[in-house]
Amino acid sequence: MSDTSLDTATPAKLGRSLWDDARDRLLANKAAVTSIIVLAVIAVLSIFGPMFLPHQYDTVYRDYTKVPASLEAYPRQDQVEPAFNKIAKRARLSIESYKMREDGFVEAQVTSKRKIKERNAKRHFDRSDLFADTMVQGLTDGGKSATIVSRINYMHFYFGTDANGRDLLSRTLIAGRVSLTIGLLATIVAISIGVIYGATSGYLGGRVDLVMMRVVDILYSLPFIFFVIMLVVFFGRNFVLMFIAVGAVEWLDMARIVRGQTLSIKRQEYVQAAEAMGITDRGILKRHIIPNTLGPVVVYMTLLVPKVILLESFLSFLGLGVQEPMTSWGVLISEGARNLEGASWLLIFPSIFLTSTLFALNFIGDGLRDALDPKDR
Amino acid sequence: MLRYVTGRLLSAIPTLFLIITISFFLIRVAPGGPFDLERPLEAKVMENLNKIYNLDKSLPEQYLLYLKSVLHGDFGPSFFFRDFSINELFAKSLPISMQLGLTALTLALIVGGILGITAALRQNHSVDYSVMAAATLGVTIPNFVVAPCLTLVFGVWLGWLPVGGWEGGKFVNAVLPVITLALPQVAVVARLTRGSMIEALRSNHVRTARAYGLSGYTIIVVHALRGAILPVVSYLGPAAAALLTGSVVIETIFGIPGIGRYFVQGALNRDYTLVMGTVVVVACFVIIFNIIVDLVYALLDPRVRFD
Repeated sequence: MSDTSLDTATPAKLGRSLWDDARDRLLANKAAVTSIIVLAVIAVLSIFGPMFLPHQYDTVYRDYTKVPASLEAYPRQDQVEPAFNKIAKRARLSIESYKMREDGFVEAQVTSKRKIKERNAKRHFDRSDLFADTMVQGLTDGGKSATIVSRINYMHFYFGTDANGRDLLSRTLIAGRVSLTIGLLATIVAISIGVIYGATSGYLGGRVDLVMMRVVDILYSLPFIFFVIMLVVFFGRNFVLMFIAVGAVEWLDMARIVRGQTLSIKRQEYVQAAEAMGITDRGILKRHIIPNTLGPVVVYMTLLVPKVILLESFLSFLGLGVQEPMTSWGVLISEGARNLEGASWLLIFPSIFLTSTLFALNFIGDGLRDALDPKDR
Repeated sequence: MLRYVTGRLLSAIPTLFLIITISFFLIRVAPGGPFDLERPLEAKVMENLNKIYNLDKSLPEQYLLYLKSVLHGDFGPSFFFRDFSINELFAKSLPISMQLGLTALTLALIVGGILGITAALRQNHSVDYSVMAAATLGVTIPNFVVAPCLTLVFGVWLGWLPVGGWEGGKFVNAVLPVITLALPQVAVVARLTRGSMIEALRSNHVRTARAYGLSGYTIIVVHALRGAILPVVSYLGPAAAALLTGSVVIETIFGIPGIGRYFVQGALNRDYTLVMGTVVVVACFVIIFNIIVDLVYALLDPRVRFD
């Protein structure tokens, strides 16, 4: 990986490191590059998207439960009048004349048996999600008749709303934040433990190796779901802590892979040279062994992130994951699955996001594997 | 070979023992108990219950009692399903899960294998790409998305198959669960087969076989596949153990009385014996399938020796 040349007079051509080669091969892989772009878009949308959306992920619009995804604004033309009538009835007002103005206001002449209180009428109309800025004008007939002018509050729900009337777009993006964070966090924990454990075990070898791998074997045969559910039981609502714990369970494969790599690396000349120079075990591990195992580790990492995201989804499906009103793709999908008939968008949109993320990660993993494979040169 | 199997089984005993020990104490350390209800039980009732189930004894004592009964093949009474022993619960549910899992496994092996071989023979061809794209899709779509979609299409819209239920294992009831279970496995098997098949087709012995002028079928099935199937076999060991011990998601969605649900239910209800029972069963399956994998390996690859 060094690019020093013996010929110091003409440092003309820089050597190419293996990483340069690998990067070029990766960038030549169309599927991998597309996947990287897709993943980046999803990540950026999830991280920054919610800041620019008009709806909060936990705002409940009671008048818009389960409205289908649409590019047009709500309320629809034909929804306005029935809604207006309903509110008027609730406010004990009878409508004499009703008119929808061009400028997006509704104007209605109303009468009541009792005196119309401006504040009361305003409250009824403004509480609805359909109307805002209600004004009561021209009180006549001893305050028993008036003109109500109300702005129609147009809102967009591009992904529709859920059963509680929350905007699915902002929920999907917030869920993306949660799912991606969980995936990354747990993976980092798993990789760190696995790499250190595997490298140590493989490098030290002998009896230490035997004992350390025996421990891995035993943990392997413990049913994984049992572990996870016990973690849920222990950590309960704190999902960050829980996923650190999940990471602490997922390191077993990593440890095995790194150990195998280490076993072959430690017989290389440069490791023997380092040993001969009297470098400590720790130093050799840090400087020579771990960096050289990174190829498979990176590949495994791209495959572990989707695994963890799926695991989180699975736990959420069982009702053991993230708690309301916070959400994750798994939570949204399991809600969607329950509402599949009649409200299919609740399943479709989160599924698209989750699936394309997993798809992208898989392709990146494959691309990296091909790029880092020395046999493929 | 018999000696090898016996040796492996014997060496599994300490593993199993450790697993039982770890999970026994792990679930006991978990907060809450099996009789913690929304409305607390009366102290006297609680005391009696604890006495019946030996929960009043010290933890090490309970542990020894449990070990003893497991050694006699008795997993004890269920704490939650009051009228049942764990053995009775398993006797009913395990065969169902095993039947589903085995069918799904066979399906995955056949379909995935054929897809993988086809893709390998047409490497970097549109067939290859579409098989691999489908396989990636199969791995990435979670089964709790696939299951409701399948029920919607085949159960509700088309009305061909029942939406859920088991009804003693009728064929129509098993179709959708088996497909859902098999789908991700098909995908993995296809990917693995393709990868190792490509390598095998390039190897010397296959080239020799070609040079002999053997038929395409003989080359692929007899010479290439024999070696190429090895990674699939080592993947299928743990996968088979997982499939045969049931899937929580699929059993929940399709309403199948299998063993998979007991895991979650047991852990959440602190049904100690039920959780322990499932842990032991799953661990046994994992151990047995690992041994089977090694045996199959030796069968397929004459270079492997038992030692």
